[in-house]
Amino acid sequence: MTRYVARRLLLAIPVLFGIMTAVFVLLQLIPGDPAIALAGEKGTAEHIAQIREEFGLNRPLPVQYAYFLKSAFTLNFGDSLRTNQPVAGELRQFFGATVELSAAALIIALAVGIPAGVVAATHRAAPLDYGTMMLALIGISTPVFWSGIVLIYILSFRLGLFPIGGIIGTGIRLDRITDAYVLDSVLTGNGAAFRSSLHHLLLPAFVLATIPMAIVARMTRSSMLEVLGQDYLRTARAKGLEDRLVVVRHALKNALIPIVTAIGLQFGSLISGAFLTETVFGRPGLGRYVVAAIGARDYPAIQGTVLVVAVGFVAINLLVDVAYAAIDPRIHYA
Amino acid sequence: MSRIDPLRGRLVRRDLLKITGAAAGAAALGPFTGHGVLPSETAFARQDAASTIVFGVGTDVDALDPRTTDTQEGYIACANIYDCLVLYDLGATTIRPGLAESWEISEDGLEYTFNLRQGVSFHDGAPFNAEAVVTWYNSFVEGAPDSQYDVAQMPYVQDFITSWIDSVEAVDEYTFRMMLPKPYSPLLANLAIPIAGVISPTAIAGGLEALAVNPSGTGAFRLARAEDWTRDSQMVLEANPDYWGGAPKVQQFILKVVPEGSTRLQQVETGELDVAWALTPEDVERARENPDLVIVEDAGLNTNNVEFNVTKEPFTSKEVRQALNYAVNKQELSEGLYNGNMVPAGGVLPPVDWAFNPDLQSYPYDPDKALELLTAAGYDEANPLTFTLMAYTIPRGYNPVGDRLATAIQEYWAEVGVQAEIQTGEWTQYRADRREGKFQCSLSGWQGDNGDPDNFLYALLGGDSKGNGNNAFYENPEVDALLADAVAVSDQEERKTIYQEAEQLIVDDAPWTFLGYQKHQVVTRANITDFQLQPTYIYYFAGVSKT
Repeated sequence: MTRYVARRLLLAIPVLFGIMTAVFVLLQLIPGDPAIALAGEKGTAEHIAQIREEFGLNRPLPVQYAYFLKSAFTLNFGDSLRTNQPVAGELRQFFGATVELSAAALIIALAVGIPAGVVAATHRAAPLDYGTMMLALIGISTPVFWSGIVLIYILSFRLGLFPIGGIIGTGIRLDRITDAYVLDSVLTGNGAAFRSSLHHLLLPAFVLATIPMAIVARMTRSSMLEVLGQDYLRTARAKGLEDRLVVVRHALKNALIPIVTAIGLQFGSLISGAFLTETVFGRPGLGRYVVAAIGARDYPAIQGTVLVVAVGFVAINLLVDVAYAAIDPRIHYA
Repeated sequence: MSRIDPLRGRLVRRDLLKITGAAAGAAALGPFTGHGVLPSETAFARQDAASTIVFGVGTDVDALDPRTTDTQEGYIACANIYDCLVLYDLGATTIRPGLAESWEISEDGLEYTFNLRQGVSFHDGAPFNAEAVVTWYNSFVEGAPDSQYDVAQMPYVQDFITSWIDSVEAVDEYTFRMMLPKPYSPLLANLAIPIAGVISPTAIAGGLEALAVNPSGTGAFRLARAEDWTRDSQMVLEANPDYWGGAPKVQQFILKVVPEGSTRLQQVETGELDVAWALTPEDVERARENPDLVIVEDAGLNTNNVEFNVTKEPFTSKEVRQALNYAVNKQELSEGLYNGNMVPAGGVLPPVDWAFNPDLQSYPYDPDKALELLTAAGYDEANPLTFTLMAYTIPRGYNPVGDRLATAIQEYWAEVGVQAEIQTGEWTQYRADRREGKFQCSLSGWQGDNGDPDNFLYALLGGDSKGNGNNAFYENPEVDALLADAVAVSDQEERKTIYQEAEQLIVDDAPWTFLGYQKHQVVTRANITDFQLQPTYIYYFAGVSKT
């Protein structure tokens, strides 16, 4: 097991290397010069030349590439060109908020998606099955920026059930430790901040959860249907086990493996969805940070964000693979 | 100077909301329609809502260091945290005393002596005096002792301040002097731009990185703790009870980041925000119908135009340039494309500028005259005028409809037989190509920095500005001589006459198609009083109150 994890970690290095190379190439290919962006709309030609010199933008591309890789592997991205603050600190600040939103969405997706899939499978071809799967189809096909705007309009603006946007109520102070707002308000015992940040989290987390929720529900249904047809379940029923016990303990546990895979793959779309959700709901986070950075051609910030997300993605996939072993004792890694 | 564009990237989603949100909302919520809006819990969360003003912005402040901030939001925050030696009069671009109670300009225009206000302290307790002003000034002079100058971070201090000044000195504890190499009368207007906010020497000593998040000025509001600024979310500023101009009317001034323009408007409607800016024309119209809201507006300090490269064919011909001016119906353009939110232009200077000339001779809509001029220039149906019109695609403060403008102009020109082919470019590249004179003709625009006519006429059409602001590559020695004269005299009335003469010459030469000035609009709740629009797109909140 340890060897397996070590090997996977080693394999992650070329993956990250490839990602950083791709990012470098893309940054070179997109039109727009960072020196011009930095010098501002009214920056003079002289200023632009000075900036190019200062940031080494006039050096040969291979040299720039070497510096780019060096900063990635030493995790020293330098200061953001836009805000003048160290990129590492900014990433930490926004990472917490994005992870909290994604985690909340994942919890909602699993809490709703798995039971919905199980219900659909156990009521196969009944109205409950069709209804659930219809909802899942709608969930998969609705982009978050659309559902976000519609739900804000109805639930927040018209009905006043949720705040219209933001991450915490205006003027509420919160000492931040992890930069995940709900978690921090628990850690600091701040009741007002907890209520407010949780209230602000629910709607965006639900919106972000719609797609993974639908995918999980469909995966659970088909995986359950396969398992429910197996001989050992008939045996379990034959020996008089309660139906609920058969479904939850025997069927669901065995049906979980493909679902876990699906969740791992969903992580990527969860992150990109989080970026959109943050914008629609006006929440601070990595998504808005990187979008602003791209607009300003803030290379250190773009590089830092991409690396953090890439590492996160690799780590989640590794966790998923390791989780197989925990779920299914027949799987051994060597 | 470049600002994060207040209207960037909001049109698409705004339109989406209009189509999808309104339809879905109306269908699902028949019984709830009308203005039955419930305030959400956040409105109650503030300790004392009446003593707090919440200002909704689209993008967060980048840095709270006046020398380095490069967003309009940063300017607004700095204008309230810091004071300049001189300030803009409320609602105008004329100058009033700030940290300098009074000033004298020497006869030859080469010495500016400022008598500083006494008994003022910075937020961190450091005393304000001439020594502090010298320390502040040296902090952004290239090569000065303890200078923190960095071209990438302070792109504007040279253009607006240091390049006009030879040296400075503390004459005595409360007298500060600037020595100029040559007379430059827009200097005071430049010193009122928030980049010239005077910073505490203690805060400067802490370095650029620390200062960006720990500001210390003398202004009406202060950031009490660095944690009160939650990036991309909100910045809670507290009133400075010892403010030399009198304690602010409210206890807190909060800048709240709400990226979506339509959401910003919704939040003003529910009372979560008191003031919001950077709304699309459609949102402004919606706000106008709501009795709880007030639109505060004027013709903005900007210009929206089409720039002809006068060094390239066919625009070397004055007849052609004039014909293309006559061919555009600006009034119709304003109503049709901008919901009436563009004030049609005769020339370069907007009506809010003090040198604006109401009697300027310009180009009324006259397609026959356009045809006549085109014929004189040798173009007709057999030999039509053809060229490429370059357009940017993002909304700009001076043109919130992005590239739709190019299509409209193309149609007007087509009516007089001109075939303009539209090409679009990515914004930063577009700017670079325009500076390098690669375009024949392109959409252009400008947002004024200091309200001085020099900042339009010299910056955009002076011979020295070619390839920087002057991307028409226009050069008229007569105009250049007038522009040089205008900065050498300090009497405003005299300057005004000179600028009006120069502007008339420019308009006759027609290096642009003069289109209009996008209105500057801010939405406030009806219970907000004494909110003043500053033409330079900053707002002083010290005197604003809430009833």
